[in-house]
Amino acid sequence: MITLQGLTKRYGGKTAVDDLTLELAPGTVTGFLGPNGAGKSTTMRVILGLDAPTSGSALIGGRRYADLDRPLRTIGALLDAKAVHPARSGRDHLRAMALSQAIPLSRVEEVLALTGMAAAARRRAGTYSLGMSQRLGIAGALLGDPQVLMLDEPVNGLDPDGVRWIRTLLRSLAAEGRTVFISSHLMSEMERTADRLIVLGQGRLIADEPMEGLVAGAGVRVRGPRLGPLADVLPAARWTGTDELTVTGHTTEQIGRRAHELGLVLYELRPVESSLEESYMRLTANSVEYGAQA
Amino acid sequence: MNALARAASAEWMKLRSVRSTWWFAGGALLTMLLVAVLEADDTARFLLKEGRPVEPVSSVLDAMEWVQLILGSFGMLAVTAEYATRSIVVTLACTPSRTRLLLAKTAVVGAAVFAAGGLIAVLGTVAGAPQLQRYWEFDTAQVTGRILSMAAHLALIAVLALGLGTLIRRSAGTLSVLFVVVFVLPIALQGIATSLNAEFLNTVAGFMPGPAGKRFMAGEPAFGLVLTAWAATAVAAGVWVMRKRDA
Repeated sequence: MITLQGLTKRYGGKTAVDDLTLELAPGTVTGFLGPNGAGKSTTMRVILGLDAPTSGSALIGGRRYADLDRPLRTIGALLDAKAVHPARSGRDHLRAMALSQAIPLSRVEEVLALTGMAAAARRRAGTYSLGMSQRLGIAGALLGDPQVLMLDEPVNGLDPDGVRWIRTLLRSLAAEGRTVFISSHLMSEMERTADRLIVLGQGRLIADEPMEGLVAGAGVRVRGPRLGPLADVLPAARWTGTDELTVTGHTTEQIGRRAHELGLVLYELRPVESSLEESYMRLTANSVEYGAQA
Repeated sequence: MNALARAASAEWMKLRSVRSTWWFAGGALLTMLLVAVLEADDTARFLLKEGRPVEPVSSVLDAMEWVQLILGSFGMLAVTAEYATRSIVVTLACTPSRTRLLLAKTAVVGAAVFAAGGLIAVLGTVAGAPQLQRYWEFDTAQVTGRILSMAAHLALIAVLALGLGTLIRRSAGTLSVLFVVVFVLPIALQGIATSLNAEFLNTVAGFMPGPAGKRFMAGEPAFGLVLTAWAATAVAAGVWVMRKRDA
């Protein structure tokens, strides 16, 4: 479990994270979204004790990262897949990590096999593709069999097989009761992986909602050649096309009955979800720091 | 295993798993052999005329000037390579205590350079033997002491460089500062001392790491403490800065 309490981080005069309070629960995959520069990576760096918070606190299971005796056994993290000495083999990189935690070296072989890196383990890390580096980084995060996993952009650079692999892996880790915290720019991937979504903009918390809350509830789409009378009786209806209405606050059954009472022909009647991407764009519209100026 | 021992075993794993470590060891040995043989040859020709006895390690001492820079760079890289490759992020995630991390690095680098340096000094002495043995008076205890102090000197210079590397983070900057502290500053101080007729500056220069190390290796153990103080100060400053600064 990760608990952030009023976490604030400033670099010089610039506020990267602004009064962030969160609690990440075991058994869930929490997605961390936000435009570039929103403070996602900074938050993760502070949780790992790499950067000191300006004020507030970040605790893992009630303790600061620096106070964990063998931290990788509590929390496994991947912040930067390329942060590996290029001349060291993947296996030796993991072995050094294992030695620092008194983790048996046989566990290194386990995580290498688990991440599909066994065949490449002898090669120097500098020769790895981005996808392989990501796998090595994930192997390092899993090394201590931790209860909490924190991954910054884990699917970056992975091929479709790798993307599916990590989705399955993260889901199963959460199903085992672990706390999984991932950031990603890939909205569709987040939609399929995360249970809960935290959106950050300019360092501030913009949204913290269960995934269903963000993607559901957009309404019912109705299509037909002559929908005017229906629009007149349903105040919540708005035209979303020449022959298309989107109605909120009514079920498909209710709308179907009204259309029948009015004697209208319908071509289409279905509930629609807004995509996560739409919700995200709506939420962050005012906080895109490095967006293209229209 | 306690936390410091765990951190040290990880650091040793990291050192021995990159090829550059072995290049540094090989480079230091080659430099030693080359300089020691050339100096021994030079000394032997000089002694042929003078007929005076010589210390068995005299040519090895001459090679130290170069070997210490090579092994100093090695010590520095234990920290600066981590910043250059950003792998410091992983290292600090494994060992969050900055104090423990730098102590582990200091112990591993110091021990490795002490062992390698001692071996290199022995091999340098052996390499100079064909030319020098006719002139030397071999006192085993004295030669052992000289070789141990040379090994300690190299280890301390490497630790000094490690501390400077932690302060500066970048290899190029650290090397420049190391070069200035070890070679340039003592000479500059002596120059100023002469032109200003300020004798105390000469004394100060004698306590800089380079000259202090020379006197230590020449058989003045007290100057080993001076060099130790320099190395310890650099590491302590590194710990202090690392604890204050974001990674």
